[in-house]
Amino acid sequence: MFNWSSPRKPLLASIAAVALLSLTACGGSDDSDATGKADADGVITVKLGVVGPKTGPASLYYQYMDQTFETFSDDFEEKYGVRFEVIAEDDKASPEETARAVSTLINDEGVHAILGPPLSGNALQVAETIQRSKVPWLLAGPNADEIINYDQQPNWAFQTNFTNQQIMEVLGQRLFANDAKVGIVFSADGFGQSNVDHLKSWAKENGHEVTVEESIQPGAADANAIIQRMKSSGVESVFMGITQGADTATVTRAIAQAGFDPATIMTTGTILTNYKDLAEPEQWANIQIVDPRNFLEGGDKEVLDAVQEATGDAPAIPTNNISTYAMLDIYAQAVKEVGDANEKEAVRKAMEDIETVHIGETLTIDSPFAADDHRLYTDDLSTWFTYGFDKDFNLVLKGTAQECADKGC
Amino acid sequence: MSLVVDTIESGYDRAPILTGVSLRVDPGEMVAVVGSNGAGKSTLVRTISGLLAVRSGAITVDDVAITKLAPERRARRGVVMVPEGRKLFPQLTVGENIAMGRRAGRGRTSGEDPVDALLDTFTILRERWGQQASLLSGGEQQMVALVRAVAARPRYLLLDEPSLGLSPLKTLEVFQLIELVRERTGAGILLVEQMADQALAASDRAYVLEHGKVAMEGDAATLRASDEIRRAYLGVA
Amino acid sequence: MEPVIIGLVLGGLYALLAQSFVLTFITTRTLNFALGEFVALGAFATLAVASWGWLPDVGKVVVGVLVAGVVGAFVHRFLILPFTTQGEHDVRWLLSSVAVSFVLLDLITNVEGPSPQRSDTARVSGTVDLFGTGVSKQQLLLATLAVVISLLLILVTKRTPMGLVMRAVSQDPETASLMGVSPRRVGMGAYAAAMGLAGLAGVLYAATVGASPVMGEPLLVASIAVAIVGGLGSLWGPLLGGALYGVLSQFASYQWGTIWGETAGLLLVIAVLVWKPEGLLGRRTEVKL
Repeated sequence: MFNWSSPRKPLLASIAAVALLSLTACGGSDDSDATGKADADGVITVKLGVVGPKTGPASLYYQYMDQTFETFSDDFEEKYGVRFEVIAEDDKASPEETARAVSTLINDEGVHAILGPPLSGNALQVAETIQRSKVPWLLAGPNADEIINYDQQPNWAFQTNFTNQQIMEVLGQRLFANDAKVGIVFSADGFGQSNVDHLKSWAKENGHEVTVEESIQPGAADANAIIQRMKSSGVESVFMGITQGADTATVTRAIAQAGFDPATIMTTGTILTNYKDLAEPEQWANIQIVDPRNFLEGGDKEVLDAVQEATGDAPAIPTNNISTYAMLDIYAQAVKEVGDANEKEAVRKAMEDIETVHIGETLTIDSPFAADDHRLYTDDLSTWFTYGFDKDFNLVLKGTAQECADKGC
Repeated sequence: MSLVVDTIESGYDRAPILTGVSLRVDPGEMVAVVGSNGAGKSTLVRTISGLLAVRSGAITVDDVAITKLAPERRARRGVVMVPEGRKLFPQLTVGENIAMGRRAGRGRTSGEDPVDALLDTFTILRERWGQQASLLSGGEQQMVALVRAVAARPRYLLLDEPSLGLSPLKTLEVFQLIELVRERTGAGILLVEQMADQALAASDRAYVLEHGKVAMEGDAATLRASDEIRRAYLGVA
Repeated sequence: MEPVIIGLVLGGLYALLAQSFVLTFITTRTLNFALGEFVALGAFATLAVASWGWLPDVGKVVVGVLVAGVVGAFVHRFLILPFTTQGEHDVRWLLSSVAVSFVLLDLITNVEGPSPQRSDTARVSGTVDLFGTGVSKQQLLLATLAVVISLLLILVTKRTPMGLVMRAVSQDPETASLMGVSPRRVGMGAYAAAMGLAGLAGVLYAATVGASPVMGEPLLVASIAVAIVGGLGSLWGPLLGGALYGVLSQFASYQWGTIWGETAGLLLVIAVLVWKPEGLLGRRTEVKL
């Protein structure tokens, strides 16, 4: 028979009990202003749990959330009368810590909503827990589609980054144009794995096959073998589904070193982080990225410019700075409409039914969500942009994804 | 001017082995320490050389306390030990082993080099000069160990069981060499030996160690002649 | 041919770091598991003086080497040595060196941030054709240095008084102390040299991948593997180990994909541990009484 108490170790048990008590005491602080309801001035203070790698090598993935709050908190308060009281938990980019952080936020802090974690693998880890806990889940970072299981309704998770299924829909035609042989190099993490899975399933549905698939470990010393395998297999289109720009640099360095010259090299917006300083202009000359955001003009650019101006730093992960803005806009609107952040189901429903999402001053996206679609962007090629880079690594707009798929870019 | 050990206590871990041992070695003098197995003879030389810490008491060399010095600093002050089992550097050559000995004697190199005289007498070492130490016979190894110690320009030489594992003939040779070392270096020699008879025969004075204490001390010849010693250590009924 | 060339060149980087492990192991019987952070330390120290126009590149590299070396000596004195005092079976240094790794990583991250920073000191860009294989000049430089430094170390230990002392301490530190040599000083010196080497590798590696707090970490496993394959007790070991590990892992990567590369290298380590635990060039320590 199991016996939960431990009579033979009374001292240990009592220490544990004291520790537990003191932990609960810390967690359940009630001196917070975040009641979730409107105060005398009509401002609703929301207790927002934020999960991300505050410390460690992936801390840029926390920084972008921090930057976005720093830059826009006042705007949201002014616009919607919603103030965010951020309760941050460090997930150290590890699945175990993420699980712990999420449980702390939900059980001990009683947050009104959760923003993060930003990395796909860690988000997958806690998806079930958050769905079960019935807390609005604000996914501004991760790209993996697998995080949201639409069979579970009502669904509590919302994604304002594009998803891997979407980008593969957009890229598939480009990569496999003229029946080219396609190779993918992906980082050995949740993001990379999701990339390769979706590329393969797109290929399968459209009667193609991925010729080479190779993973790269974060911080790998070289990628020569990966590139040699692509080269010797006659790969003509390369897709890099890599989380860190530094690893992207390792791959493009190997491409240059091997004298490999594929017709198409595509990647995602992750290249905008940490890549430029570690690569040479000739290594990025032929790279293109696709993204549903217009980094060069309009609301997306306004967000990035505002972050730069307010924080004095470059946007940590530009794509995610924008998606965080969109997410906060959606959630703040929903809270405003419901009037009480404690009414979580009503807030969730208001998010699902949102009419207009604002990004910056000038960009709006109308009615993005449905019960079985909590993704801000679509896979409509005409709404995606294709970019290349000039020799200073400035983005150069090549056209919409549709245009590039039709006539090449 | 002498090496003085003043009521020291030392040992391994918590168990003290030496309890209140005092002795003295004068320059040029050969002093034997005899005693049965486990009496604390090796502990004594290891403590004097600094390999074991002193718990209480003091050790002085020519009136300067060395009680707290690390082994290498004692060696540089001329307190040189030939450890039990020779402890040559096995993969170094004979010449390199002796060169290591010279490191302790740097800065005290006045006068003629005593090493040369020894090598002239025991020419076998010159022949073996470039050989790896581990390939030498036990007797040869003991000679190298002694010469290495001499290269350190000892003022006081601590010899821990120099005859251990040697044939009687080789033991004789080693004792000849020790006598020669005393002559050439003028060092005070503290000789710890299982072979009590030979040790006492070669020494001026002697101490008898029992259970970590000095049980007897005195003139080596007198001790060697005493009935008690003959019964206990010299195997004479 | 390609995997052989690339493997040899890549093995050079690992060999350089394996040499650090060998240096501390032969003199102190300890390994510094914070080696990866010393790689980063060297890179950042050089980066810190990168803007000093009056200092030639060689000088900047020397700064990186010195900083890593000096910190290495301190780490040995205060964080390794005190945890080796209980005899041969005292392995508390293992934990303390891992602790150093965490502390250094946090310190460097706090000061420099997590993102890789470009480092142009001692940067040689471009590739060179070696028997029909494109090889990055930077990696070739690293490999050449590994060979040159290994040969120098071997020469120094064989031919100089300092080398004699090192070999003596390596064989029997206690007896060396009876010869007026301080094994602690020798250990400190070895740590300084070994961490200086790690710093050097860091500076040159950072010119390729950028300086970041975690830059050394991915190299750690391969370097330990190389040191074990070659033999932790032999200065020739890292060269042989680096060559074998590099070629084997590249060959496996080319043949079966990159995930098999590292696996093949580690299988080699296991094979060596089974058949010749002291490493291919290591010597079994014999005690003859």
